[in-house]
Amino acid sequence: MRKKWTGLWFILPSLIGTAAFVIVPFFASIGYAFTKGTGKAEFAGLANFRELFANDAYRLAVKNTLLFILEGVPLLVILGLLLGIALAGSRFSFQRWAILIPMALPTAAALLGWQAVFGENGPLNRLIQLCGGTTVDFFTGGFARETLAFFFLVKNVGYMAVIFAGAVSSLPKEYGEAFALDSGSKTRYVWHIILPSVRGMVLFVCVLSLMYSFQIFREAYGLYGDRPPQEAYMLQHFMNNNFYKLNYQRLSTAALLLVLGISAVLAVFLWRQEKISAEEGM
Amino acid sequence: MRVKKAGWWLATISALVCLLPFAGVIAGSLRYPGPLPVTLEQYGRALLQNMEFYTGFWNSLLNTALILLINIPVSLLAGYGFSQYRFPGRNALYWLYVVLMLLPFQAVVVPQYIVLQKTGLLGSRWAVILPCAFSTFTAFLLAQYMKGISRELLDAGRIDGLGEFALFWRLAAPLCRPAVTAAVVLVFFSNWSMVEQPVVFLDELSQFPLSVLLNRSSALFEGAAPACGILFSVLPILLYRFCYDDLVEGISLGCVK
Amino acid sequence: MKLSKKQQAAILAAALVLVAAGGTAAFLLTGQDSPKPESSLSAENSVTEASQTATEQKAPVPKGLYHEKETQKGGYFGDTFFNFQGEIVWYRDSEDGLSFVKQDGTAVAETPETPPSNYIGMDFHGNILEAFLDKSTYFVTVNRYDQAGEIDRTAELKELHKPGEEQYLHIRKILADDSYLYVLGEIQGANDSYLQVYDWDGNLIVEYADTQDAAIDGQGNFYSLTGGLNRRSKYAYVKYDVNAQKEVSMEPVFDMPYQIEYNRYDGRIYLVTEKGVGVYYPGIVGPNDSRNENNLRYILTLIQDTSFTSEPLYSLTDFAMGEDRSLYFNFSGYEGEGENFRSYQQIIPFTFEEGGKKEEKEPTFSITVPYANDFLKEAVIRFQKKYPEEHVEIDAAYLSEDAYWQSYDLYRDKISARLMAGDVGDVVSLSGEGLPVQNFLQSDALLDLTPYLEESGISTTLNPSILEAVEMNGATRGLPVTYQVPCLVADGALAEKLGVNLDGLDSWADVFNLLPRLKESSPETPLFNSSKNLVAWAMIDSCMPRLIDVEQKTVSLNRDWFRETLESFKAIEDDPMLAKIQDVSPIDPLMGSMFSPYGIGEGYIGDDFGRQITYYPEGYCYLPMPGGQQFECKDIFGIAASSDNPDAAWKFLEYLYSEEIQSLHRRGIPVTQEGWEKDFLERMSYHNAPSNMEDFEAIVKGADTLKLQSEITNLFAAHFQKYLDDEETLDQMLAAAEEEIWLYLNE
Repeated sequence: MRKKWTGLWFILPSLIGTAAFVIVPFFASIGYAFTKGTGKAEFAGLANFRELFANDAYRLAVKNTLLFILEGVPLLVILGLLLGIALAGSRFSFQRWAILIPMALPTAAALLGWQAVFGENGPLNRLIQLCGGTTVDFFTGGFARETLAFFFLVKNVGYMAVIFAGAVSSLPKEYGEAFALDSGSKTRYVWHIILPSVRGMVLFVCVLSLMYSFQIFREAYGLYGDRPPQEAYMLQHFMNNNFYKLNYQRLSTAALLLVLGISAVLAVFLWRQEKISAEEGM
Repeated sequence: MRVKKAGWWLATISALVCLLPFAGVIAGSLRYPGPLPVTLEQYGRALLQNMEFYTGFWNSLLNTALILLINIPVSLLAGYGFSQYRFPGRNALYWLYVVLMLLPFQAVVVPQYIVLQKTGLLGSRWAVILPCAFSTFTAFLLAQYMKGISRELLDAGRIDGLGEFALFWRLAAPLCRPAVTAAVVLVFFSNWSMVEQPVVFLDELSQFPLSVLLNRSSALFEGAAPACGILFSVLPILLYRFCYDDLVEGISLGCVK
Repeated sequence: MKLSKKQQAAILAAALVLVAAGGTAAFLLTGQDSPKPESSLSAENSVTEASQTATEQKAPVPKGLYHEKETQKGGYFGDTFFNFQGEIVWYRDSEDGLSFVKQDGTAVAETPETPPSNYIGMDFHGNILEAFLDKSTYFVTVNRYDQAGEIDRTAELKELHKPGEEQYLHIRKILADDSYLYVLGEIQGANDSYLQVYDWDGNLIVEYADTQDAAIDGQGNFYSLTGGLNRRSKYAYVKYDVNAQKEVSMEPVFDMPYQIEYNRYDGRIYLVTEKGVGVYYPGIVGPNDSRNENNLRYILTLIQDTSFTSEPLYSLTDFAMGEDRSLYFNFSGYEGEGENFRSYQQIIPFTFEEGGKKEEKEPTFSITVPYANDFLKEAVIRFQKKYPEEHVEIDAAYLSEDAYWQSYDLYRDKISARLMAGDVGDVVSLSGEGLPVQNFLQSDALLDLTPYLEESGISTTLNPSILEAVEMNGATRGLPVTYQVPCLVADGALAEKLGVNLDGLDSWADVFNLLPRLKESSPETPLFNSSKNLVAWAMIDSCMPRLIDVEQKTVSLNRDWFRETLESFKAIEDDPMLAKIQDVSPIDPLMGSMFSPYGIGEGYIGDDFGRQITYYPEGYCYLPMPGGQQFECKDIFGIAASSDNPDAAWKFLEYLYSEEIQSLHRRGIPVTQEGWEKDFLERMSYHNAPSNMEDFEAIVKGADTLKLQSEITNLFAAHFQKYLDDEETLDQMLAAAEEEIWLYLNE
């Protein structure tokens, strides 16, 4: 008999461990956001938040992070979708295999490779020189954020493309045949049939991309360490550096704000997903 | 046909670009200052000169394996629980899980340090394994996949008299093989590159996984960094090759409608 | 097809794992470790018996406890020990006659009836040796007496150094085996101690000057502590095979050694050093061999295990070790004046209790340091001696400074996490190259020590400018114990010749602009005895504090004087005569160049002082760094906010400012006024108050800004390099650097 709490029993093992090592620390760090002073912590209300908003370094980090997300995520989703459509239903086995490689390549190795390719004496710059241009410093010449966005794209586009390819492949073939009968253009098939059907999936991919966009810190740290170029200075750099300043309160305040922001976005996603599943009669 | 051709170009160019970093590091690993344009000297140095390469490798392997051993079963259960059952607070809990998925390490480093210290795990391998073994991403991924398991199938099982756990073990879990494979591969990739936790929670250089040691490559590996990078990548790439089909299926959440 | 792919992958994976296993096994079996950085929280010494020379398989050094026994004091004791078949004996001249006695006073041998000799001793077998000095020729006759009291061998030694006027030849020790005589002679008044080895026919086989002590193994080898051979240390360990007439090994000994002993029962070398008595392992060196951490393992530690400190060691005349591993120290002393003046010997024995263990006491507080340096260890030992109720635990992350250097960036991450989590000792050390000192000084993870300072009244005794410099945002969270001041050594004579007024050099630009003039008149002379990088760093370090205010979080790089400085550096950057590294000699830091970066207090401050007066060529003088007067803390401590026992922690900090510690002749300038003045005035009087020491004092006292943590200066240096490489203009570079530093300060 299905009891009310059976589901919880299944979740319990995960919940115990997660509670101990993730949930409790998370809530503890929330506590830090409202106190001041190591050792003798005293409640400080919203003072930390006020200070944070007034802090120019924080504002820079927020600006850069938002810009990075805006530059990276839409591009990733769109490119992933297009690639997914291209891959769905075609054999293209080499391409399928190749696009997931960046995800498998450990960050440290990937960075070495990227530095070899984009470096001053790398093939890309040689090509630019051949075409008569001057060498471009991709890493610190003002494009750092865009370069990181490119790495982000390459690393994750395969993953998103596979998701989309799966979604597109699972569309019943009759749709395509029926539509082809009606009108000969494949483009319109894509536009009118495929896209609406994968609407739900697009949302999911957006969330996933958002999550992976925060992981770009690994690449950024591997390339630049504590002090990236101004345009690549993001929230996690801010938080990381405050750790070394022993200013855990400021760090926690920024982290809390970050989590609140993401939660809001997520709440929308989950709510929509519920709606869609309800529509589809789950 | 034009569309098909355009699709081919897009896929091929993307594929080549995706291979660039891999090619770059391979090329970098074959060079060494000296007369020969192509040489295996770096590999020699990486493999024969430094004990650290091996200790780092074993640490990476052992840590990742232990993390997988804990993370996959626990998350599979949780994913099943989230996707098949409704109970008060389920949505809130699920939302919490997803939020936790997005937490950057710095946000929880100090409280995690305190927890580890109080449980006496600090400085041991478990200090790095346990926090990562309970990452909620896997539960999320598996829950999403399991949402596609048809109700009818499970109801049929119930009618046959199967208990809830048996339902899970005999019916649902086997269906999830692609997703589980995908989860194993993704968790492996993610933890193979783990860098932040060892530095704060571990004390000795001999405990560090290779991912951390590679970041300090100039100190330890002296010019053999690209070769070490390649050697470090071999297992993930092999795993990828080994599990490719299931991985793709798992990722694309082959939903059974 | 799919299956074989999977098979392929599986086989490759298995192959990789096998290779990894094989490689690991290979390394473990051959024991071939790459020079691994040592980092371990357990405080075990890394030298194990296995790392000794493989030729000898010895039983491990027995572990146990030494117990100090009653001192025997007598004016009639000889100043040398002899090993009589395992027992340590010494010569006693009493009413009963002359005899050799052991610790309990019983005589083991009577001396033969002879005319008074200049030296009387005994060899290992118990044969008595006597030496007679002929005052006219300074030849020495050595007789060996057998058990019956008859002379059975004799040798005439003709090569001993002859004393001059007001000098006196003293035979310190004669050791003998069946083939050779080893004579440690000394000319008192001429600072000449030497070792000569003769055969029994009187032929001088080998001689070593400046020998502190020597020991023999009875097989024709001698082991000595000899100076002047190795410039890296004052004394070197020498092993010499007399039969082959070959020096077998020579190694520097860094812990100041006084005595050397060869233990015939376990075949090991023992040294008495400023730290205590230790087993010496020749041939073992550490990763950066300027210390004896790896090759000297102490079995007896001064102060901790003994009632005496290292100071009386100057008057240690001999040391010996018995078969039962007991230790004997023989000090000479003087008392009385005038008519009552007499000298005496003090013999302090130590017995060995094998397996004995010190009782483990609960620590009353702990000190967290990156690595435990000698200063800290000695301070803790003395502290525990003075306050026996306190038991201090040193919590060091690394075993040695070198191990720390290899991983100091990791330590930074670790100590930050620990401070914030409260997982640190009561006392926390903030010193260590690369640590962000200013961050620590601003963090409330460390207690504000102002109440303690005021209550104890110490603040009045500390150098006020130093104290002010470490105060940040109204709180003092760290207290330096000693400090060093970077400065320059300049060739005043050369300056005069060039017509340069050294006092008029206000900025680095002035210094750099001297190069053209220098080249004109003296083209062989480099401007600095250093490397271009070190000069650049000296310049950056000294200018930065004037441009950046960490407390106010402001940075302003675009100042005229700074621009001038940077431009003048760039102008001469490529000139090979800007900086040349030449041999570093303690008595001549310039080696022919005009300037050299230096640090007063970096080494023994006595040396900084003494060299100026005694050793440096005429005209050398100390100059303050042109940019500004900053200092660096050598040892700086704070108290953790999470400490349960801050009062005990403060007691220790306070003790570090006691006269005893501040006037220990350690590296660094003492922070207390008295410590400094006592030191300074003592030296001034010792050297008869030379006149050119105002500069010295001015530099030391004028230091008033704390050097900026390297995180900030590294930021600037990266940008500066771009300017030097012509990648950016000065304006661009300054703007970019300012932006980045500002971001850093304001995060």
